[in-house]
Amino acid sequence: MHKQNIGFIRKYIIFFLFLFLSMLLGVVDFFSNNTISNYFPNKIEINFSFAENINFSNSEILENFYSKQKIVSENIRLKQEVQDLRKLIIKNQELETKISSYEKFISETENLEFQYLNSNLVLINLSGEYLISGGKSSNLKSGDIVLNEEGFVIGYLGEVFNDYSILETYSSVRFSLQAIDNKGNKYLISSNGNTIIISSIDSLDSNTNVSLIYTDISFGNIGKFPVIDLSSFEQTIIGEKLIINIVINENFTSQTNFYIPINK
Amino acid sequence: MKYFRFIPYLFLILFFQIVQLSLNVLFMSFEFNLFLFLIVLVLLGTLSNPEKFLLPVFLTGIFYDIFFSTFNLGIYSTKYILILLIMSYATELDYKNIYQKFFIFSTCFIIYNFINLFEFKTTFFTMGILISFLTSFLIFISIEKFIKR
Repeated sequence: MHKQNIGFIRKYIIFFLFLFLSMLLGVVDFFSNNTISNYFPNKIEINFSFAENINFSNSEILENFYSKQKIVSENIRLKQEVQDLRKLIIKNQELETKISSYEKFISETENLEFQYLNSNLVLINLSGEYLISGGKSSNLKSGDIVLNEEGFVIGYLGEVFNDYSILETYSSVRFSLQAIDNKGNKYLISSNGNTIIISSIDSLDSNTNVSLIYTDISFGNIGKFPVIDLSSFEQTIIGEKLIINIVINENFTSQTNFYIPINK
Repeated sequence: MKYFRFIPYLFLILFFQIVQLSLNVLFMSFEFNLFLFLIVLVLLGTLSNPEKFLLPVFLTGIFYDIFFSTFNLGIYSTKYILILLIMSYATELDYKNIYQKFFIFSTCFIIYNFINLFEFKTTFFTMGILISFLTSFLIFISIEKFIKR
């Protein structure tokens, strides 16, 4: 009985030690401004494109069998050729959709002085954030804006790893972006996870009607890109400040193409 | 050599973690999601000596925090260890009642989705999540019964 109690206590002491260690790491990381959590992603590279590197056509085993069991190996070879052809068809379809996506994006966007990096959804983490392809290896950095096929800003890069990045979209409560309209009025775009809150930084006249708002170089963005067209939303001016609430309607799929503008 | 016994467990738990992330992408067009990793964690807690999974679970949490999360290091490992601790303690108390199981699984589910609940995301508060929760609970009950047999 006594031994059982000791075992029980020892078991939970180990549990609480690990719990304490996790919390300690969290506190240290918080006060060191994420130095520990950012250290490893900078040193270690995780490559998500491993599936593309598997090549079935150059198998040595098949070549050895070819001389001995001609028919069997021929059959295998043909099967693999079919597999390769199927892969090529899938690749071709992917490229076709990519080309049509590029064509649509080029026809919509005005800023062609930039180079646009095409990105796709890789994973969704447990807190619902999107992990997209492209990272430090593609010269991306935290804060880089991300566009959709229509050329509108859909978010920015929150954290950048070597081969992938975490996208901060309007559905993130940490989302914060500054924008400007054609008249030079500045706006702050934030989110509570369900609605986008757009509030003017400067005082506005009561008869002001805002339409498109853009990102700007003055806010540290790469260039001028449209964020949201506000003309179709109800605009209320409270105390010379414009406040607009928009319900978030994000419908990304695994096939959604993202574009990240970078300097040429 | 006995100090490296945790490595196969680590890879197995990491595998389930990656599968869970892939499932998130698979079910992204639906409101439904399958909480496979939560089921795995809860099942590990019901085993006779869950403390041997502590280090792999802790390292999986750290791995997730480093590579897949924008939150501080240690948040997810704390979450995972808490789930393991609750399940282990509940197993010690020898719970048998389906209502007790439901209550404990709900607690683990809340801890597992703590960040989504904390951020009050509408995408989380849907009927689909309730169905996902019930499906995950039923899977957990079925696997637990199968293991006990």
